Amino acid sequence: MAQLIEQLTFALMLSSTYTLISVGFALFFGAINIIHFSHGDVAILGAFFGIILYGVFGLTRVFGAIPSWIVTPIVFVVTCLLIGFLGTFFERTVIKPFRKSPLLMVLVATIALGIVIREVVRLFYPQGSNPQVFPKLLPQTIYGVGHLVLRLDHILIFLISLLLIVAMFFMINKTRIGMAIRAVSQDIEAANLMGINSDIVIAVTFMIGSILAGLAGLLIGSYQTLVRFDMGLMLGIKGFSAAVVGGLGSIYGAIAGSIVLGFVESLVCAYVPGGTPYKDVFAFVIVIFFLVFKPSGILGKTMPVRI
Amino acid sequence: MKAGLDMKLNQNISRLLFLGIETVLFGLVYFFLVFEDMISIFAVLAAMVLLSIAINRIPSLNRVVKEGFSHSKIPCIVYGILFVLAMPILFKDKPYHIFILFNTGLFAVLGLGLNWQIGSTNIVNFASAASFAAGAYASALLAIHAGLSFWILLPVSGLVAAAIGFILGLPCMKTKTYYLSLVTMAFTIIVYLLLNNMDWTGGPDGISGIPFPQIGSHSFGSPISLFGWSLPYQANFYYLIVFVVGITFFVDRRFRYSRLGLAWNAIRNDEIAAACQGIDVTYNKVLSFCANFFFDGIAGAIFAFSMGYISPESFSFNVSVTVVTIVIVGGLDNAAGVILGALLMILIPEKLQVFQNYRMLIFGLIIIVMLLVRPKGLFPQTIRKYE
Amino acid sequence: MQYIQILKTESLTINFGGLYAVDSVDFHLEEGEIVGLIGPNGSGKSTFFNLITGIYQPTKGRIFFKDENLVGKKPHQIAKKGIARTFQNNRLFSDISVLDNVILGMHYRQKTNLLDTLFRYHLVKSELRAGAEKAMELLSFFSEELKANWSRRVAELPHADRRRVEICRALASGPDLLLLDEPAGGMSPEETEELMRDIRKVKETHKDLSVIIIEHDMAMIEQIANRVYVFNYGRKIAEGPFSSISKDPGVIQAYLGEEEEDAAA
Repeated sequence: MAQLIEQLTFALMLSSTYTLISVGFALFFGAINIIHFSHGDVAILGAFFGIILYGVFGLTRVFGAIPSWIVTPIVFVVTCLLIGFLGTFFERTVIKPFRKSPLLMVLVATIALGIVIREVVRLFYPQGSNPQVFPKLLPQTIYGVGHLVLRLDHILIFLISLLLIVAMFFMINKTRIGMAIRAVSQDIEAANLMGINSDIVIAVTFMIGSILAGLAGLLIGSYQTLVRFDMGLMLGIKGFSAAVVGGLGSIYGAIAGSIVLGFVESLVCAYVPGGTPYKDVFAFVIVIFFLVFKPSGILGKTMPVRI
Repeated sequence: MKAGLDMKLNQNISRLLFLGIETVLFGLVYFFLVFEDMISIFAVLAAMVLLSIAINRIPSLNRVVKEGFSHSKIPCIVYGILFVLAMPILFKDKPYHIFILFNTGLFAVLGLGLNWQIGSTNIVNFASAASFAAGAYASALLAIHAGLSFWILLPVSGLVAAAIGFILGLPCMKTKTYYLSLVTMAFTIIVYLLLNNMDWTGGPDGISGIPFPQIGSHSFGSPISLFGWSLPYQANFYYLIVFVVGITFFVDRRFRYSRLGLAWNAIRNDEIAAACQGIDVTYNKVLSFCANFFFDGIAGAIFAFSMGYISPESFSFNVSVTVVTIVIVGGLDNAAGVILGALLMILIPEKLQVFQNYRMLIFGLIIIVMLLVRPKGLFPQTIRKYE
Repeated sequence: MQYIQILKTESLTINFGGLYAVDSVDFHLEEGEIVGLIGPNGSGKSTFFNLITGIYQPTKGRIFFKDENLVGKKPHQIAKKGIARTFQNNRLFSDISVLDNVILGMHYRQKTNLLDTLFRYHLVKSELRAGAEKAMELLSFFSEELKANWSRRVAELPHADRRRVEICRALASGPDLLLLDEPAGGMSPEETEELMRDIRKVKETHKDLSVIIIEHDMAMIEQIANRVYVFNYGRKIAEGPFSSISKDPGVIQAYLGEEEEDAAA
């Protein structure tokens, strides 16, 4: 029983980190109908930026110890903002030029972008090909209740993700810019005609998606304690599968899909003997299944084709 | 009469000039391979780039090349073939170079097959590594456990890979093209993960102990003696891959100038309009999958037998990306362009060892730049001429 | 003449999530007729074509071509039965040559397959050559200039020529039923005149060819069509010769002034 609760908390935490990424996929697909293949790599960049920033703070300890409850939020906020800008930068340079081109070209371009990001990290970060230790930014307290062992950082990760997802919901549903985003995702031409600058809206969408991705990178680094330059590929595919399972373009769908994926993955690890190395295979098999047989996912938006 | 004689003289002069340029080109390629220090290598590369630019930009040179080629297609091609065949002789003391050329040939076959899918039917298939692996593992396992001869395994690996292409392709026929790309990507990674984790594929250590192919009493593991020279054993595999590249190229030509090739181009442009001409889109797409996978499987078998052992590392997602780069750079639906793309993407990084580490990064950047600047590749599809 | 009614639909309906794009349409076409199909934008005319050619499957109703029910068949199967069409937004194969496009029109009449391509290539070669010759003939039927441009990529051609190539492609298979979807779309009055002459020429050389033509240009419809159907909101609202439907109050109301401009053209 205790183990079950532990597994459930782990699964919730995993799902929440996947949600931060899959929501980005849903937003991007909703806005400009693209599948941003390097989104996972952008997230991992968040983890690496976090390490670098923390290192910078480490240097400044010379001037007097700065308590971690100041360092951590600063690292988080700065990293997320930086990644937000970086993500938007990538959109302007690699995605925007292909807006009028066949979708295939954007896909290949973002795949190539992912490769570039991974290789840049591998080549230019010191010892880039090795796993890097992620600093302990979150409190490491452990609560024991009888047989039950709960980790505070896992709970915090879940809560932080939840907070930001709720914030994003609030923004999309209650603010003007959010309404603009929804308008653009429904019909970009009509939105343009209504005086909405769709170009700026798209940039903002990418900003939001990338901020969430940066956060995901930091959180994943926190609970995994080790990050590697090539984690982004897997992460991207998992985030994408979650979005597809739920239905591309639908934020609720992305959340639903992430929950499914997170739970399947952690349960397979915990209860299927010899299953751990195959846990990633499950994610991919699921994505193939949905792409082929039910591309609109559980709650998806299908695109009618004008003939 | 004099005018006729003049014309003949002109033709002969332009023929000789053209063959002269071809010789210069072959010389450059030879020196590119032979030189060891970076400066000389760069110098040769620069010379090649300058030569290409010169041929493109200087009208008289351009004319000589074009006319020369049209007047002397056969001698030009024969000359080229002789040069290709002579490579192992030229490099008989440098077996590693022959190995690099062999590698280029493997990727050329992979690229030509993928070209049928991307260039013809617009399916960006990222599963080249998986089909390559299918052929390699199938031939390796059958060789070791069933003792079958390489020459039987060659077509068998092709068929095994084609069968996998069929199983993968058929359910996906209703899937939109960009979703299909993702399916192929996921498939490749699944195959890689499975190969890495399953026992009967040897896990991360792979399969070793694959014997050398034999023709009669001559084993591919022993040197060839030709005209008194002794060519290293790599030459065996080199000649084999040159032969396979030739066959793949030949098949590509036939596909292109046929009802089939036309149907594929139609599908690439507009599936619905294609269907309205009576083209069975599903059949043709699955066919392109199988044709691609078949040749990839054969390449895989040759690869396995040339190395003697195989491991999952050779079949990662990055390998698929390399093949896609070759096709995008070389030219969609242009076989000669694809072969050139293989030369550029495989040969040059090998020689510029300094950049080996940066290879994937450069590939990624090249893909992005090519897509932005020349999405149809360096040598886009040419117009079909009849008669 | 083999069939009295080469095409017939009964209560043909398609429902897109509540929207009846085509609503209980009864339609018939006699062999050798040219029938016009007119109606305001969005009245379901192109959708009707898509239903006949199998691109959409109806939610209700039946389609009979040469007395055979087409419902449930796929587009390539329907094409093989002898139906060819052009598209409102010109769906040619843009990055290959004009000649290749027209040869592709003959695809289902050609016979060579994969095995022939690999092992009996001489058959493939002569089939293609014959196709190329026939395609050149078709192109020159419209204009020598079009024929001279055979090697250009379709994307490079001017708009009117692209429409002509699309019609060539449709004719290349020797169809029994030709569906033309706004063939004069985007053409100048002179080009439209030429097109009308060309359609008449085609009809003269192929007496048994049946044609349905969707058009907004009323002058063209008046001069070419034997009979006219009028659609509005997916329903057939009138049927008959042009002279009577052009006076039909329901038809006039549906157009609300559009007809005035077009009739003056």
